[in-house]
Amino acid sequence: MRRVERVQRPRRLEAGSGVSTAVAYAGPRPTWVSENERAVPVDIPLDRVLIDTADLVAFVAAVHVYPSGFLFTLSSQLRPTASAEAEEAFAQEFSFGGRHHVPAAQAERSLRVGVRFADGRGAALNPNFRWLGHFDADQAALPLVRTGRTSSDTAMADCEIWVVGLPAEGDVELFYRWLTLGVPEASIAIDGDALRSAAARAVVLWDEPAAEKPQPPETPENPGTPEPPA
Amino acid sequence: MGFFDAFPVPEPPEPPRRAPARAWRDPGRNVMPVTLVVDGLLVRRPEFAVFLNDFRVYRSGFAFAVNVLRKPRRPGEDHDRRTESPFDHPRRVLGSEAKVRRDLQFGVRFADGRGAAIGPGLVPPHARGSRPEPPLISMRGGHGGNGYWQQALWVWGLPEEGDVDLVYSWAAEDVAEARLSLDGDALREGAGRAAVLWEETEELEEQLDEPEEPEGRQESKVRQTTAQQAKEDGDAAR
Repeated sequence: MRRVERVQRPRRLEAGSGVSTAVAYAGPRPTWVSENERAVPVDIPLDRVLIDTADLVAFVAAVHVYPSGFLFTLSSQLRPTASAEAEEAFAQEFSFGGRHHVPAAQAERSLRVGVRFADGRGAALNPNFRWLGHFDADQAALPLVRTGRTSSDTAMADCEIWVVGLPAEGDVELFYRWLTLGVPEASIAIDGDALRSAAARAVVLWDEPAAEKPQPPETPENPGTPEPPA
Repeated sequence: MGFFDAFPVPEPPEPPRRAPARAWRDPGRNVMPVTLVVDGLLVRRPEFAVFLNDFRVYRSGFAFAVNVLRKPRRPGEDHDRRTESPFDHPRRVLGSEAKVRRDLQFGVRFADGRGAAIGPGLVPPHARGSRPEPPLISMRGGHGGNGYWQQALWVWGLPEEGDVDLVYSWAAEDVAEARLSLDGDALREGAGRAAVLWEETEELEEQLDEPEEPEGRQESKVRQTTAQQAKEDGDAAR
């Protein structure tokens, strides 16, 4: 069974209690959490159209490969001739907050993205919480699919998607489905050798910063750092 | 009659009309670009780095991303530069030209000598009400914070011959003016392969010929340094 690294989030100061309960992280974060803040990725071209219907075109241009995974942008464009139903489905997909508490049956019909490695391991975005980029250590088993930024308007959306983890062998299958826009499940292959080669060439600029040491809570016996003189 | 009957729900407004593409400002949504692989690590210092990536070649130009990474501050350092954006909007600059020249600047130069630049205070011609000529370099989307900043740039225009130099400087960080040469043949070949997803309507094409209205925002003390502008200045001097 894979060990899961748990992260203890710092707690806020409790107002009015007079006691600081600020505690730093209890354990190291997985190093992939901060790779985009301290590594230079290597681009490999994908340049593939994933969806091409009467209403919608979606494509992926470059894949940005980091030491521990890769990032790509799914660019979706409604055609000017898209139907009113397609425009409505597209708007619902990307409206702020609209994805967070959708019934599962409805979420199943929205945009879904996932990956599968050659060894059978796989992962997919949670259709309800996929736009939240918060790190959750409980999901640290790899591969992991999570989102970065999304920018959108009524007719376009650029969704950053992170795939954390790289297969030791074989290609990566990228799956997608968007039933509300009439797109059944389909997949494309991303060259695994190109991914591994690029990951080896990505430049790590500096290491993950060391976790701050936990500070002892302030108590009457340990009043903490005295205030500087005025 | 119920209470809410006095507050009828109005008909929803017509959806906003899709803004026309302006080639000098945007590559257009109807084109799927071709990726160009570039070794774009420009600056690597112990405390920060600057690199370019995500090169996308369109029919009428190319886009790329400028990335600035800053190392987390060390214990005892009070000033956290990770929160400072290295990219400022051209119209937001209030400082002197000397200050502007110390900030992060980018430019493009074709083999035939034509060029353009962008940086704080360098207002592009179309923002001043005149129709630009290629090349033109302008900002698209950007974001950042906590030591990671990214700004997308769009270069309108491709040369018929020769390579394209991307020129950069950041005097405030002791980065002297330098250039990164892009393979002109690869750019032209990529532009030829960029796929048109749908044809724009004639109505939109016609609007491309209309110059944009000046936006009346803050005027800068520094002008766009295009070859066209230099020629206009020379003509005026004569």
